[in-house]
Amino acid sequence: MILPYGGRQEAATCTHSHSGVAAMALRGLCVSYAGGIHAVCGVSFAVKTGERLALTGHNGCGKSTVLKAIAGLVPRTEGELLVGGHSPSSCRHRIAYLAQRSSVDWTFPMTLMDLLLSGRFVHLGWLKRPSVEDRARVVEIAAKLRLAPFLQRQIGQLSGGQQQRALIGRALIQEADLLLLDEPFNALDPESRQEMLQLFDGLSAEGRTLITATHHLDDLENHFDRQVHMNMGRIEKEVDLRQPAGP
Amino acid sequence: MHWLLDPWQEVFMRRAFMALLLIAPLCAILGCHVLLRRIGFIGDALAHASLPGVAAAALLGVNLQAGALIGTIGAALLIGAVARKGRIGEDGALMVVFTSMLALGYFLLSKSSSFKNLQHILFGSLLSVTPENLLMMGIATLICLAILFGLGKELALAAADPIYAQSIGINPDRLRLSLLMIFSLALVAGISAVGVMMVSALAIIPAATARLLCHRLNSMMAVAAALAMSSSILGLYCSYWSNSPAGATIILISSAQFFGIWAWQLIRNRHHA
Repeated sequence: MILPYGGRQEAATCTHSHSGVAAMALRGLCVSYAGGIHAVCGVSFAVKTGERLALTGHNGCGKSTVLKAIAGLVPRTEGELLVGGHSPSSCRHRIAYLAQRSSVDWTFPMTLMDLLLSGRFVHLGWLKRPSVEDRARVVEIAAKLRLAPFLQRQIGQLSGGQQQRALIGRALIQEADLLLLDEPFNALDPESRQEMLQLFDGLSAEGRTLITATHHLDDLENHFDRQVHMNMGRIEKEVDLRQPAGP
Repeated sequence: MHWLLDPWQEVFMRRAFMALLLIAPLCAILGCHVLLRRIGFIGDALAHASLPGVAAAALLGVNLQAGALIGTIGAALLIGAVARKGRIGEDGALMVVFTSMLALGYFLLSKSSSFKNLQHILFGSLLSVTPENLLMMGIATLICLAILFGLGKELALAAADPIYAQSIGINPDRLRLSLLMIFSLALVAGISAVGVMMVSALAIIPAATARLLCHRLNSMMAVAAALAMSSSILGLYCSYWSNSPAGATIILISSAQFFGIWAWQLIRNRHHA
C-alpha cells in the first residue's frame, strides 16, 4: 500500500497527456509576496509536449517565481495552471523542479546512488523503501548520463557538471515529463554547458518538455524552440526560435 | 580481571548499563539528524527549555518528567511557530525561546523548595536508575527509533534538498517539528540516566565524531551509536573506579573520542598534503 505525500492524493487521475493537449498551460498567473507586492502578474503561456522553452530576462524579473509557481512551491494568487490538461495537485509526480545547484547541501553524507534513488520517493510515499527494481533503474539512468562510475561517490565529490547531470538523472528516475530547470548553466564551464545543452536536446527528442530559466542567451536558437522574455514580472516578448530570422 | 567484573556484582551498575544501552544509541542516531540539519544547538536549547516545566511540576507536586515533557514540547512548538511566521529565522527563534524559558525556569526555581530533585533532573543520577525508569526509557526509545527509521528517507531528503522534497509534496516544516518532538521525548527519557543537560551532549558529540569518519547517513548513524555505546560503557567503568559523576565522565570520554579523531585526521591530512 502506498501512503502518498501531501498534494498528490489524486495521482491516479494524472495520466499522460492526450495528443493536442498542452504539456503545461498557464493563464493569467499572479504571485504576490508579503505586503501584496506582485512578483509576477498576468503571465500566460503554454508549452507543447517535447518543446524546449527558454524563460529569459534579467535577475529578479520573475523567471524563478514562474517555475516555482508551476512546481507548486509558491502559491498562485491568481491564474489557472494545467499540466497535461489536469490539475497540478494531482500531477506532482510528473513535474520535476530542478532548483539552482546551490540549494542542495552537497556536503550531506549521501552517495550519488542515494541522491538518484530519491527520485523514486514520490512513487513510494511514506514508509516504503526503494526496491531492487528501483536500484536497477538508477544504474540504467546513471549509465545513460555517464555517471555510473561515480554511483558510490559522496555527492560533494562530483564536479559541477556531474552534479547538474545527477539532478537531471533524478528527474528521469522520477519519470517526470515536465522538467523545470532554474539556471542550470550557472557555475558551469563552457564544456559542461555544451554537454548540458546536448542532453536537453536528447530529452526533448524523447518527448520530455523542458522549461529552462536562464540568463545565458548564447546558443538559444540552436537548442531551444521558443523564448519567453520577462521583464518586471511580466512577459515582454515571445520569440519562435524555429522560424528563420528575417532578412 | 576483577576490575572488569566487579562492577557487575552491583544491581545499580547493571541498571545503569541497561539505561545507557537504551538511551545512548537513540541519542546518537537522533543527533545525526539534528547535526545534519545544522540545528545541533537545539538540543541544548530544548534541555534548558525543560526547566520551567520541571520547576512548575515541582511547585505543583506532580511528576517532574511529565513537567519536563510539557516544557520541551511547548518550547519545540514555539520555536517552530516563531521561526515559520516571523522574520528572525530558526537561530533567532531558538535564542528568544531558549533564553525566555531559562529565565522563567530560574524564576520558578526560586519559588521551589525541592532543589535537590531539580538537580537530579538537570544532571541525572545514573547510579540510582529504577526499573520504572528503565521501562519508560525502553518505551520512549522504541517509539523514537520507530519514527526515525520510518521517516528516515524523508528526513534525509528534506535536510539535503528541502526544495526538491517540498516539490514532491513533503512538508519540511512538519518534518522538522516531528524531529523536535522526538528530541523532546528522548530528552525526557534520558532525564533519570544522564540528566537533560547531558542528553544533548550525548546526542551531538558522537554524531559529530561519526560525521568526521563517514560519507553515508546509514554508516554515520551506526558509527555514532557505536561511539555513544563505547563512551558510555568506558565512562561507567571510570566513574565506578574513580568515584566521579557518571554522566560527566561519559561526556568527557565522548569528547576525548571526538578530539582524538579530529586531531588524527588533521595530522593525516597534513602528512598527505
